[in-house]
Amino acid sequence: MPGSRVRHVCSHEFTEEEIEEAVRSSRLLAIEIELGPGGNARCSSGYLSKRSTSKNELSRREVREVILQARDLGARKVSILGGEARGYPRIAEMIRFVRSKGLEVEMLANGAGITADFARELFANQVRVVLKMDPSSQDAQDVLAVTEGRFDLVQQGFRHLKEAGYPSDEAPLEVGAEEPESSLRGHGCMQHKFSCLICSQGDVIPCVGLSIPIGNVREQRLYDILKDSEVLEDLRNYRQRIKGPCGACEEADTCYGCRGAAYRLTGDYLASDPLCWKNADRQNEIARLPFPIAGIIPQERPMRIIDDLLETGERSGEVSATVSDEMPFVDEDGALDEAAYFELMAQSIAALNGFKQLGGSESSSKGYLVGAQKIEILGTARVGDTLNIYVEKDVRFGKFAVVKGTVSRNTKVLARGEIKIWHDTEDVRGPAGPGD
Amino acid sequence: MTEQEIRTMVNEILEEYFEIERDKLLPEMNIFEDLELDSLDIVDLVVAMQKKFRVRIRDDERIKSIRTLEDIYLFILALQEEGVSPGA
Repeated sequence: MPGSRVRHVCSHEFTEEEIEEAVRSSRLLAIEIELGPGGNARCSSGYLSKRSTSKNELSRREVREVILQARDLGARKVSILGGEARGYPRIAEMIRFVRSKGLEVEMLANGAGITADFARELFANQVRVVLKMDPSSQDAQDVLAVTEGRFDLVQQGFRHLKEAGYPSDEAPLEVGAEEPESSLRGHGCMQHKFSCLICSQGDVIPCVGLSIPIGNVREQRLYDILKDSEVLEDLRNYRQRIKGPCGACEEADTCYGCRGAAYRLTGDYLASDPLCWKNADRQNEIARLPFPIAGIIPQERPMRIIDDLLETGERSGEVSATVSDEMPFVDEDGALDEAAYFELMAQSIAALNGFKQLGGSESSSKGYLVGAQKIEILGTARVGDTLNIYVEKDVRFGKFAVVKGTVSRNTKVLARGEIKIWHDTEDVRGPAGPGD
Repeated sequence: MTEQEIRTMVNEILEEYFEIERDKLLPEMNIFEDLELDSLDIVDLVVAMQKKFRVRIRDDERIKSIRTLEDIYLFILALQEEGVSPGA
């Protein structure tokens, strides 16, 4: 038990058949939910606590509602994450609610907040507890919890769990230390096929490592978020879209590496896993952001007026461009013509699509700029300016796509609007997701 | 959302986004021949309906069958009955 690797998120107690059926029918088997913004310790591995604040958290009603939505989509288990869920108001009531709906509960805890009463409550509800604890030394535990003096409290929490009856067949207990950089799943995870994580303010992300928001449960039903997500669609079609050595690995049928590690270390959730031992000598084959755009869109200089892909997200991305006097849209005074803003947006979305298909087995489609609307010109770019272009796919319909774009220089927005792209292909992207 | 509310909101889209006069917005009107929308306009129509009704239409195949204004009303009504629209 001591020293065993802690699994923060749903462990794979689901059979391969259950997972395959969930994928076939586009349903969930589990969800993870963050309750509470932080915790009673600044946990070094409290990945979620670093990105959340106490403001605007989901209400208890909203949490119950999303749990019910997940259940209706097939989820059988709820994993409670967060800095320290014990600090969440009426956590015991929430656990009883989840259990009353027929779902299992797993809770990640650092142990410091587990009182004797709470431990008994957990045991009575057959909650699987995953305890982050390094029993080897006080210093190690304090490092893990990033707070001096937590060791005794954590030990006490562990004792309360044991006294309550843990571990048992119905109420498992998993204990172990976690390396500071390893709040990520590893080889063979693929949990994105059947799970997702709901953050405390309602954002839905694929998992604790792949922290790209794909929607918010306050704005959309969970069903629609999962159905519409291009990130999840990419992961479902990973065999065609993973770049680099992971795509050709002999174990690709059952493993696509850790998408969280890929995202956090390269900026690209479709990159090969840099931490996989098989890629140790193949790091130069793994693309990383920022990525030079030359070669991933059809245009060449001087018509290519964007430089690097900086970020990718849920149907969105950010590109950089430095205005040069070689650009065809620059006048004799060094000012960039307003028409160039549309071209910047169009090339940026082309770069986003081209990067996704880099090294994959799918061919890219040509896109044509066929319209622009709701354009606001707020400033003029000049030679020497470095621009950031943010693009987001708004709507796709048949061969058409509407893309929202913003062109900025530092923090000043120079232009924003929508462009319409027509793709020379049978379909822009095939649909996938729950209910399809 | 009642059927009449849906009709009213669809008409508002066509008046506001496409500047079609209200007296032309009759259910039997063909959106291409009578209201003079083209394929690019259909994309904008889909965008506007998504925002107005807070739905995701995306690649719904039924869009391709829409010919009249009545077809649009029935399409939105069907989405509501299917529980696709959070505004329902």
